Amino acid sequence: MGSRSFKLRWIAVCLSMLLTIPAGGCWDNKDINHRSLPIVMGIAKRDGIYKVVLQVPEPTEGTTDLRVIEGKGTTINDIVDKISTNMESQIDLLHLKLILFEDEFAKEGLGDVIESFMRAHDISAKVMVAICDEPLESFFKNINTFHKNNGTVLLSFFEKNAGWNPQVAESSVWEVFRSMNSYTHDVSIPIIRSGTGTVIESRGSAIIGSGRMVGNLTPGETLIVNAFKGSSAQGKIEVMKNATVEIISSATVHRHTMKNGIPYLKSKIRLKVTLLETKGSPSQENIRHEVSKLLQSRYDSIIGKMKATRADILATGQYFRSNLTRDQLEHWREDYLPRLNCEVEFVTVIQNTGLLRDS
Amino acid sequence: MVKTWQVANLYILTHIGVIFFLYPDNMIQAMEVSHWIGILTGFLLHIIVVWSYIKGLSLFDRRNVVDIFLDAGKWIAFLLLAPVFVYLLAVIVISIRSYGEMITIIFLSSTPLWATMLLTAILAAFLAMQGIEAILRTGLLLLVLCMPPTLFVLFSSFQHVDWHYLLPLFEGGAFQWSFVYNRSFLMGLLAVGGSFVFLGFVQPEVAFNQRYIRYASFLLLPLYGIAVYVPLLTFGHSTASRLMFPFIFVTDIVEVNWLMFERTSLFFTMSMIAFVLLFISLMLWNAAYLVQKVITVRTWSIVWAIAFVLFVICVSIDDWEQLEKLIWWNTFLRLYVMFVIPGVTLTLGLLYKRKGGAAYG
Repeated sequence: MGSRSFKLRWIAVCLSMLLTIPAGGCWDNKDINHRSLPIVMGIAKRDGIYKVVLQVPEPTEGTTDLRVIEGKGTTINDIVDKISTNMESQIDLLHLKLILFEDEFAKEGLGDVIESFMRAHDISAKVMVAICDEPLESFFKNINTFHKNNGTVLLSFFEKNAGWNPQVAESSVWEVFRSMNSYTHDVSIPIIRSGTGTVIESRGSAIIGSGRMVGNLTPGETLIVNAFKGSSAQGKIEVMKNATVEIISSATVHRHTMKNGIPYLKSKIRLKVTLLETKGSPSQENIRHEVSKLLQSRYDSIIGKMKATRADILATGQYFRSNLTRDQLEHWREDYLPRLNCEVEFVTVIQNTGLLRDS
Repeated sequence: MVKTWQVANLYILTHIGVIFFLYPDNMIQAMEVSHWIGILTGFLLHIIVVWSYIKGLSLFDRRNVVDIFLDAGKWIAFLLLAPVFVYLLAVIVISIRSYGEMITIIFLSSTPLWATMLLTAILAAFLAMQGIEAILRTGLLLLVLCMPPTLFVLFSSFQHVDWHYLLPLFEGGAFQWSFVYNRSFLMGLLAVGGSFVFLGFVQPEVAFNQRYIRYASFLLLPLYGIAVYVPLLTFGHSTASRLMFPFIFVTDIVEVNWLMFERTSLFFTMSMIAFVLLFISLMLWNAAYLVQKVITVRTWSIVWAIAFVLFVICVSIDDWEQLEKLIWWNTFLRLYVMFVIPGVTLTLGLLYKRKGGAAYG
C-alpha cells in the first residue's frame, strides 16, 4: 500500500471523526440547566380552548421546589410553545410522566390530544394518564401546599413499585390510543382528586370507550378488572361484615363459546386469601362464601356498566376473535357486547389464617 | 481464505438491519389477518432464492458471479449485471435516506437530515473502501457490541403481548395469495431479498461453506416473525396499521423498572443503525466491485464517487412519499435480482458441471 493512500485513509478517518461532533445529537442542543423538564401535565378544555398546567420540579439547594405553570391556547403544542417562549428556559416534555385530564374534557373526548401525543416523539407513549375530577387549578394548588418538597408524589401514587394499589387502574397513552382504534379493547383509567389527609384521593376509575370517558368504576370494581386482566390483585384488603382478608394471588381461566350469534364467556377466578381480621368467629366456609358473593356482585355490576356504555374494558371481545369474521368483529361493541352472556365463578381458597389458629 | 462464520454473520446482521424497520409496516399494511402466511411466503422465497444462488455458486470453484457471467460472454454479463448495479445504487439511496429519516424522527429531531445522511454516507464509504475483509471484521465487532442489547430488546418486546390477537389464524382468503400482488408486500421484499446478492461477490478473496449459510438462513424466520407479530400482538391490526414504525414503537413502550435506562429502544435503534451501516457499506462495496470490472480504477476513488453522487440524490429526495415511490420502482429491480441472478447462476453452474468443468479451465 502506497503512502498516498495511507495518508488519504488518515484524512478520511479524521474527517469522519470530525463529523461525529456536529451529528452526535448536539445540534441546537440546550444544556440541562437551560431546560425545564415537567413531570406532570394537566389538560382541560373549556369553551373550545385548551388549558395546560405543567408541574416542573426545580431543584434548589437541599430541596426540590415545584413550580406550576399555566397557559391557554387552541392546541397543546401551541400552549407549550407559548409557555416556553415566556420562560427563561426551554420546556422539554421528554420526561413527562403523567398526564391529567379534567373530567369534563375526558367526557368530551380525548381523541385528538392522545393522537398528537402519539405522533410527537418528544412525549413518550409510556406516559400514564389519569382523570382529575376537580378543577385543575385547585388540584395543583392543593398538591403543592401538601408536598412542597417532594416533586414526585404524584408519580409514586401510580408507580407499581411505589404507592400503586390494585384498586387503582393503570393506563398509558398508548393503551388509550389502542382503545381508540381497536375493535375489542378498551381501557379504564384512574380518577383522582386532591385529598384532605393524604395528598391524593383515589376515586375509582373511568371507563374509556373510543377515547371518551363514558362511565366510571368504583375502586372495588377496578380491583376486579385488574384481577380479570391477570395483573395481580395482590395486597388488597377486603372489608366485609365479619372478616377482612388479604388477596395473595389470583389466577383467571376463561372459556368461551358462541351460539346463535350470542357470545358466552365462562370465567373462573381463583383467589388465594389470608385472614387478617375477624369479627366474632365466622367459619372459613362462611368467609369463603362471602368473599365470592361480594366479588360476584361487583363483577356483575362491571358487566352491566360495560354493556350500558359499550366499552369493552375487560377486552372480552378478544376471546371471540376466532368466532367472528373481521367485519363482525368491527361491530363487536355494538352488536355482540350488549348480548354477551357472562358467567363468573370465584373460587376462594383461604391459604392460611395468619399467625393465629382458627378458633 | 475460508471465512464461513464471518460470511454467515454478515448475512444475518445485514438482514436484521433491514427487517426491523420498514418490513413490519409493509406486512401489516399488506394483509389484514393471517400475517404468518405472508411471512412464510416471504421466507420461502428467500430460501429458494438464496439456496439456488449459493448452490449455483458452489458448482464453480470459488469464483464470483461477475467472473462466472463474464465467461458466458462480455455482453451477456453486462446486460445481466447492469440492472444489479442500478439496484444496488437505489438500495443504498433508500437505506441512507430512510434511516436518516428514522434518526431524525426518533432521536435527533433538531439535527438537519443532511448531516445525519452525510455521516452515514461517509462512514459507509469509509468501510466499503477498506474492502470486503474489513466489512466482515466489522461485522464480528458489531456482533459482539450490538447483539446483546438487540437480543435483550427482542425478548423484552414481548412485554405487552396479548396472544389473543394471534387469532384468527385462517381467515380472509389469505390462502388465495392475493396479497402477493399487494404493493406493500412487494415493497416488503426489501427485507427478504435485500442483501443476499453479496454472497456471490465475496469469492475468491473470501470463501465460505454453503452449508452453513443455509443453516443461517433459518435464523431469519423467527426474526421475520417477531418483527411483524410483536406489534400485531401488542396493538392489534387496526391500531398497528396506524403506526409508521410499528416495531420501533413497541420497543419504545417497553418498561423495565430495574434497568437504569428509561428507553431501552435507544440501544435497539442504535444497533439497527450500526447493522444498516454495515449493509450500506456492503452494497457500496458490491457496486464498486462491478464498476472496477468495467474500468480499472482504484477502489477508494470509485467508492467515494458513488457515495458522493448518492448522497446528492439522497439530499434531493424531499419527503417520505418520494422515497416510497423510489422503493416501489426499485421493487421491480429487486424482483429481477431475486429471480434472474440466482436462476442464471444455477443454470450456468449446472451446464458447467455437465461439461465436466474442464472447458472453462
